[in-house]
Amino acid sequence: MKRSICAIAALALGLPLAIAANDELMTRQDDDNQWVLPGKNYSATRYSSLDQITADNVANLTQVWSFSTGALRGHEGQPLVVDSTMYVHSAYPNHVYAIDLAEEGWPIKWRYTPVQDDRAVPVACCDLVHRGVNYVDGRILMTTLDGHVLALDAESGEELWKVRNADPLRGETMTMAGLVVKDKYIVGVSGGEFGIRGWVAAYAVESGEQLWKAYSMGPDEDVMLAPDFNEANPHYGGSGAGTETWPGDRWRNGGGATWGWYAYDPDLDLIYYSTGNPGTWNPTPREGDNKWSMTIFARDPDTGLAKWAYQMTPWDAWDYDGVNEHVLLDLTVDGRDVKALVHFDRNGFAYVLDRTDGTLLSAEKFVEATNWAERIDLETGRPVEVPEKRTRQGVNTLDICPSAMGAKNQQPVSFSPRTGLIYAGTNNLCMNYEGFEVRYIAGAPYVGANVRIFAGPGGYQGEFMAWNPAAGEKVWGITEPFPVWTGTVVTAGDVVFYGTMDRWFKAVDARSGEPLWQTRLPSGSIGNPMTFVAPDGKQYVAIYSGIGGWFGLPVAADLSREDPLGALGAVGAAYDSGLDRVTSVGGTLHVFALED
Amino acid sequence: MTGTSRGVVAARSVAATVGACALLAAQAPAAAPVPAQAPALRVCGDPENLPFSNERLEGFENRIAAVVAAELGATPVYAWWPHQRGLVRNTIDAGTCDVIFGVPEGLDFVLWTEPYYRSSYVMAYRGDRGYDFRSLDAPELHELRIGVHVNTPPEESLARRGLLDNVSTYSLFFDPRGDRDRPRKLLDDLVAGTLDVAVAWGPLAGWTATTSDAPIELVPLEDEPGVPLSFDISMGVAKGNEALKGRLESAIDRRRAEILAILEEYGVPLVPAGASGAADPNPEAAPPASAPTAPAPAPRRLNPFTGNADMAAEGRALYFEVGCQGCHGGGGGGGMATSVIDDAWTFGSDDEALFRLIKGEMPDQTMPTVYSVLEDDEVWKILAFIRSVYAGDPGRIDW
Repeated sequence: MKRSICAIAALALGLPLAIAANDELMTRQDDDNQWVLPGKNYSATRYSSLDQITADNVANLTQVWSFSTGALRGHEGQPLVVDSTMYVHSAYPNHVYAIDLAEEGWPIKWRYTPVQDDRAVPVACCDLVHRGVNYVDGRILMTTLDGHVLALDAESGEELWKVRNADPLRGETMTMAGLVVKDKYIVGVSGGEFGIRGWVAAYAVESGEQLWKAYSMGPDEDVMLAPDFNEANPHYGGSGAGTETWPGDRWRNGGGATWGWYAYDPDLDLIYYSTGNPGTWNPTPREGDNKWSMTIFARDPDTGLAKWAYQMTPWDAWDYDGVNEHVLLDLTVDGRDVKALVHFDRNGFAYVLDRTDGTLLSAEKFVEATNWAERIDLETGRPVEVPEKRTRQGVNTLDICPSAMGAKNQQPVSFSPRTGLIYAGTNNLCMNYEGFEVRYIAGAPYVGANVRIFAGPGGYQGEFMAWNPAAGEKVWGITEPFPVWTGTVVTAGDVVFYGTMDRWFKAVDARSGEPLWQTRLPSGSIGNPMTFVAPDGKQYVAIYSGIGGWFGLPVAADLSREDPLGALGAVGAAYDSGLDRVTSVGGTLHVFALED
Repeated sequence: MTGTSRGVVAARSVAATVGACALLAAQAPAAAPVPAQAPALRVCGDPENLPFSNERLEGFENRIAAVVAAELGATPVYAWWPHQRGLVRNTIDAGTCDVIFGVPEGLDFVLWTEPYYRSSYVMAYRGDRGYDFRSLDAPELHELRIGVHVNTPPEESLARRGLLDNVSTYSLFFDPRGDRDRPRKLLDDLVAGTLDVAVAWGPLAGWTATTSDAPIELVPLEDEPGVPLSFDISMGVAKGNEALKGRLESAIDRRRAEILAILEEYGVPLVPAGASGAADPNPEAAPPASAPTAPAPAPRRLNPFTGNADMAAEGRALYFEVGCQGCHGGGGGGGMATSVIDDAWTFGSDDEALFRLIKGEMPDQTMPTVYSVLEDDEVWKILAFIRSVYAGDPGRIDW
């Protein structure tokens, strides 16, 4: 009660919430008892200084609490912990629960389920996932599958406002967590398989008013370029590129969805996110760079104007959807201190950029099988392609690595300042890919390619790895039979956690890579582990189980096995490796602690 | 679009539901063991859906059922099941009851009687606010808060007028976890003043106007091109049960005045029977209530291309070109959507059902309705391809 009275008082007095909100998250992100931002902090390191659980005692970890979310599709994302309340979300229909960690047994304080238009369900590519909620200033902010953005009172669960950001009847849906920056809730959109034109938009935390909306492609005024856009790297492209790199007006259905994880640098006052595949997976009808699909953007959160943009995969021919997360690190590269942005792209390269101006510093293959390009030319910023791996309409191009699911999918990495290493779940998947002509019908799929996905060299489908971002090289790895589709969390106890599709939750020594502990979950995990301290003073580790996502969709939706091209290639890959023999559907949050 | 809209018309007629009612339903036959009693009219009733029906028999459909049963010399015996998704499958098809009252035209799973009333969607507003609306075209609507049930035809009418930014959507469906999203919330919010305008199915709004202390004005909405907003309401019986259909129609004819009085008592806004809007693209689909002969069942089309390899090949090309593959898989095995090569068919396996599904005309369909843009021939070709890759039980082929 006390909190809501304070919030009302602030409103009544017209206090500047913008500054308060910003300060609040800046303070809270440094309190490792809490987990208030999707990526733990604005730099998205998913690192916690908590150290009760260590490499020495993690073997005594045991499940102390679990909670069914009431949904049975893929559970991506992570819960939040704010003060003594945990906020749990679910896959569609996107339930939210507030859990009181201060009371014995952790009872439910409130629950909320948005009213949704179920016509969003059949146009949600790749399972009905959701990646979590945000918190600021006594509010929970979230997206819904049917394209709404809304705010709840964090104390009562009461809906404060709800506005439409995306229209499922045009194939636009929302699965992302978004990010609160200052007094704005910044979100994007899903629907790259439906010929949408992606965008990022900022909504006022207080009212839901849309403050700006910047498209991924189109005329400059739509893409919202700052006057000094790409000043440091004019060869990346500039004014006009959002239309001129497309035949005719194909940019109108240009894709560039924006459903990944966002990061923010408060000193530079820039948000970072990236865009997905260009519209229709068939490259032949859209010859050109197709800017700004497959692009890392840096924008001013107040104006929306783009400071710089770097396209990773020009004229995509593989569905290397570029939406993966960005980790903001201060690194020493070649003896020079840089404000770096590290990005593990689906295309198999780990990019390091100077996040002040987008200058490319390094790009190294993080999955060895990557064969569509030899390397990334650091001068031009462009890939040096292997011509026979470039796909085209009517030709079934064979043995391309990585697959469209990427060398890593959306599952976010973590970084430990103690080890200097990044911890990533990756995919060892390759594919055959054949583009075909497709007609644009608003609201209908606009895919235009058949994809057969299979395990890469070695026969395993995934790996959990430690990567040295400064050196651009793998330090150690643990192969897994299935793609590693969970995020990771690493702590000052030098333990790193991840989960697997075959239902294991594992702890590994962050320095040596030695497996330390594992336990079985009821369903495969594609969620992001996180850690916090409850009012009882104990450190806890939490992760969702609930198989799904693109790879897990055949099991989540109980698809038949006859068609290996089903689910955009997931059926073949998932049933090849026997996913249906190791897991069924689920939707549970699991919390672990050291045994007393 | 039209078919989709129709499915969600009158009483909420879809959504997931729970199995507990099967027990209740099973009690129905056992409840009438005394042979000397009047024969039973076994009604598939909704246990909690006023003003239509409830277990205490307070709804107008309960009252009409009693009148019709009396005309037949029978006693209504109820099997309770929410009028939502799975209704027909779990009631008439399961043999627990014989007639559903309040079936909108277009509900294809049953055989309809001639309609016993016709109503429309209405816009409702408080009469003490100084508004005087005649239609959804009133310019003031752009400044007002409008509520509508999700997925109902007037949502499309609002979208066409660029009003969606002002619209709050409400669930039409029973929430098995609780009742906070019950259909009445839309009208409760209107009465409470959190909405300025509610666009709702006439009987729901009419009941609120009749029972609420607030002065509620109702404006019936007229059909629009491609968006039917008024609907005939019939009783539904099992397909093939022509005998019961005939007896019910005879009862409707004889008791028409009493039925009308009940509807008026509940404030149901009535549209003249057969007054299908001029815009209705298929007026003959809605027979006038006083038709001298029973309406013929809709002709069930057959695919002219089934088994034609050339047409199936063209259909395969279309299957990829227009995006079917995106959801149903490159080999038809599904993905975002269901498999089309096995023998599980949500809306029926015959040509007519699948044609209408692709065209977006099937009540309650979840598949996007965007393929209304395809030519009929294109749909038949795609269907010919789908038939050619069928991998299900050969014994279940009915095309």
